[in-house]
Amino acid sequence: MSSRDNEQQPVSAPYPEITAQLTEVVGAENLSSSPVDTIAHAVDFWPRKLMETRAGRWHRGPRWVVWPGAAAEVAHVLRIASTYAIPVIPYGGGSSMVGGASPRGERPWLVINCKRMCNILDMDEGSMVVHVQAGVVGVELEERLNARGFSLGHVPTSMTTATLGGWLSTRSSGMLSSRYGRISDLCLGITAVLPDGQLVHTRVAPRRATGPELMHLLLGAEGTLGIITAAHLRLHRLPLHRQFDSFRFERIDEAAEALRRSITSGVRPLVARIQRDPRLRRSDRDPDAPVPDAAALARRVLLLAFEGPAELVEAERGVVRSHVAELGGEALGQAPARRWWGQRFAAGFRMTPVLVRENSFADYVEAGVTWAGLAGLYRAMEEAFASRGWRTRLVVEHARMEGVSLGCAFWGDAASPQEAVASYDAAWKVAQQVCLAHGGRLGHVYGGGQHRAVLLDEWGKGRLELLTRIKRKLDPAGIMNPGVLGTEP
Amino acid sequence: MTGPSTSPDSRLASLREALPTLRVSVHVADRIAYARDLWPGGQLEKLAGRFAPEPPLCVVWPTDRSELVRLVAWARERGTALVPFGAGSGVCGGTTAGAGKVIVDLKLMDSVVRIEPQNNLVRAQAGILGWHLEDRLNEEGLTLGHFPSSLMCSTLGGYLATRSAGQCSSMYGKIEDMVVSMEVVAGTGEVIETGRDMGGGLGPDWTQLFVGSEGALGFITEGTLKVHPAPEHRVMHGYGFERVSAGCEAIRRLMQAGLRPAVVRLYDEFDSVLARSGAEKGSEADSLLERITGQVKGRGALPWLKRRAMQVALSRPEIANRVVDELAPMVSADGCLCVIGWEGDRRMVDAQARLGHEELMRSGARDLGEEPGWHWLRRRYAVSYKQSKLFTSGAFVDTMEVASTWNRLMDLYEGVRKAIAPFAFVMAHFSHAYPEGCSIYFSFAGSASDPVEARMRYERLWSAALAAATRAGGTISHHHGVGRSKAHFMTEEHGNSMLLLRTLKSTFDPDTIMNPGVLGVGASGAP
Repeated sequence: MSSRDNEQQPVSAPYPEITAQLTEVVGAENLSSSPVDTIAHAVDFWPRKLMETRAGRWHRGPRWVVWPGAAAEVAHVLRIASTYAIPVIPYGGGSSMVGGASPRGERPWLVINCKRMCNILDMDEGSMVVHVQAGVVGVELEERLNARGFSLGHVPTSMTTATLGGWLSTRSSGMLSSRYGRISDLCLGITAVLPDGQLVHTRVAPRRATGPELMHLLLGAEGTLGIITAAHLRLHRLPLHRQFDSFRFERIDEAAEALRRSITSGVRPLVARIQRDPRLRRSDRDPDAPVPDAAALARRVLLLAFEGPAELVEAERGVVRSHVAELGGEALGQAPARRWWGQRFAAGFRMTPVLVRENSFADYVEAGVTWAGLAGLYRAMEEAFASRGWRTRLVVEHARMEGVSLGCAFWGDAASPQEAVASYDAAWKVAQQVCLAHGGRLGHVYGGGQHRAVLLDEWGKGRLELLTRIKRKLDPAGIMNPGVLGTEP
Repeated sequence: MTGPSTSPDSRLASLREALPTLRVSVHVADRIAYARDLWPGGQLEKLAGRFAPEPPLCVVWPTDRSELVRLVAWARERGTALVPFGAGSGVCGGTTAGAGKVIVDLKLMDSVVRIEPQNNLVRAQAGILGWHLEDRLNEEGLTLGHFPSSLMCSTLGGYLATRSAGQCSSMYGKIEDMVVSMEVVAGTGEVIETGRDMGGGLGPDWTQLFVGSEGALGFITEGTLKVHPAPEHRVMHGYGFERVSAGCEAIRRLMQAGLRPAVVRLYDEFDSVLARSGAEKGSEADSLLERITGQVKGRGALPWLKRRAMQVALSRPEIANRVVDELAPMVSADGCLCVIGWEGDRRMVDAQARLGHEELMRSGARDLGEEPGWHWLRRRYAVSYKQSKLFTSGAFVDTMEVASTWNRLMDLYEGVRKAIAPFAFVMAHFSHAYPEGCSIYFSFAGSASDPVEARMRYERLWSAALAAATRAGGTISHHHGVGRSKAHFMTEEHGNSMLLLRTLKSTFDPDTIMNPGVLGVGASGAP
């Protein structure tokens, strides 16, 4: 029976019976169908849905929200959902920006909110490995680790909302990724519940050669194959020696090349960002400030942070400085990078103040690109948005051996709610076209969810189709976050 | 589907008809030469008279992916199993043939497709030998950083298929850390590019799901890998530790201090003697046996371990192991040898070498100076391939590489040693270290009165050792792979997450034609 068949006959589902069974598993206090809870779980942070809500279109919430306390309860709940072909959304912080955690269509959805499963199960300080439940909110985990002298080293801007499970399910990248990698690089093993209620544990080893690394079937699958309930994660030790450096370049090209050469030399900066000259901020806000000339607008600053043993940090800074000097960069000292660090959670692009304005639109495009393609993509993205009157702010981050990621926040105002959504969709269309033409890969950091513009880029390569084929085997009833990542709705 | 019951001749005829340009050999010399890899268990079988008990149907040499796609289509239709073959230097029976199977040698697909110096990437075909790829990169001032001791007799495809590790893995990572994307011709016949040059993208990381698949899901035909500037500077150094546990603790601290040494090797008491041995002999030892006897004779510490007495000693390994334990401090007055190497940018190498030295000295190391480090580097590929003397004398040698997080490492070391001790003389070194754990590389030599008994002893040894590794919470393989020799331990290794592997297998190899039996999946397989 396909999921579509189920969709045509939801009225026959015995809802009171399902409610009774769920209650038996999680307890009455951990199940809700109250509007207070279903409305709260109706939309995630996908700007398109937020814009629709703002325009008065109320989104249908799930029929049930459950808060299981352990993997065994998740297994029971999934078995019930499988039996009745109830679509399930694994829910963490609800901060998906691509609709990965919100119900869709008219079906009776079951949201499994994982946040009660938030305990540290074991801490192996000698190996610097923590075993922790996946419902823990990022900042809580980090604070608990800090209290014991450790850090996870994973700091996305969603730190205060997202859960570990959400990060793992989207293979999230944080602002320290240039040094510590993305969350999948920090993960050594997982416990997950499959759609039929089976629990799987992938065994922990520093490295192994015993076939494919099976945890990778669930990491990045955005809840379409099962629910990750716990993970073993690599840690880093506190306290750490930290230093900063800032450099100004005439163009993006030299800034990017200085960063590329540094990474190639083996430097592992804690943070590496290329962004607009912060001095331009004044002209943004003060209408009386002199209009910056083209040269000022073209300048970019490279902000760096370093962490580790002091002597090695100094060696890394020396290597970077020599590359910067060869490329004509101007040293700005520690202050600009330190200032950014001090405001790292606040200084990010804040969408909410934009989106509360009537008829505004905003989002964050994010694309992976190789070093060779970076400057071209950067300029093309900037020009394509500017020529349509949309505001943008571009930032280069997540440096790796082979390339970086280019983030592009965009925003604007339209004449009506319909036009705002149309402009929003048009902006994504433009981003998609620019990426296609200049070798950018959309959705590099925060997953694909239901965001068609993000998914279409990858769709052509057929890899999402591979996921659908695996899903048909592991989830024949099609209950796990159906419709996400291009799977059958 | 014509079915497997058809005669070899009719199947060969249909193969030639389906792929008229494919190079095919049915010569008995090729079929025997390609029947086995370097799994020592296979050598014992040969001695027991099973020369090539199940010779393959034929050996084929495809030249491009379209030929492979057609070959897979033919194999699916005819129900014939395909065995991907690189250089045949695997030690786990990963490319062992079987009656009626087709060996697919990929070594004609050996081009470097492109080097992208600006993106620090290389794209190469799977059949290229490791040292040819490295040479080609060196010409551009680059290095892959992958130096397994098999470098000269192994291919890129073999590395990717088995999650291979090189001697500089502590800095450059294992092959799965280097690979960014692969082209796979799956058992369905479809051509899959697993990733993109920005590593990952949306959905599961398919690269990580195909790397290490040992040919069970399809042929790995090309790979894109990260490359680095060839190191401008290198520092090598030797240290001594009284006990292996002290050495491990020092390495743990070193790896957790935020440093990235290129080479980390710690030898246990007896392996330390061998590691130093080349300095006196000055040439490659003929075999592990000769290295043992030669060295021990040279030192005069264990006179009973003379060549003639060797067989006796190896047949009573529990005594030999105990004697070595007792005599270890005398055998090697310097205790356990530890070699640490640093390479890369000069400033960063110097800073790390100084910090690393301080860290190791704080952990109680004895400074042995540079020479032990350079000595190791000179002899890094001096692996003996002349094992025949040893095997014909009735003995056997093999290696086993396990790994665990630091908290279990000493239990793993003791557990596996104890498990092997009744069957063979055993020593170990620790050669791939990470902040969270380390691998252990056991070498062992045993003996028996006849080949049949040798084979039995060898199998009992492996079962005991694998069980001990699993019991101690370690993985049964760090970088050699599973092949067929450890396939029966995959459930102990992975528990019920094996069902994820079976799902991958049934998705990408629905007819079980791809290397059936490796990794404990598709065991029945098509003949």
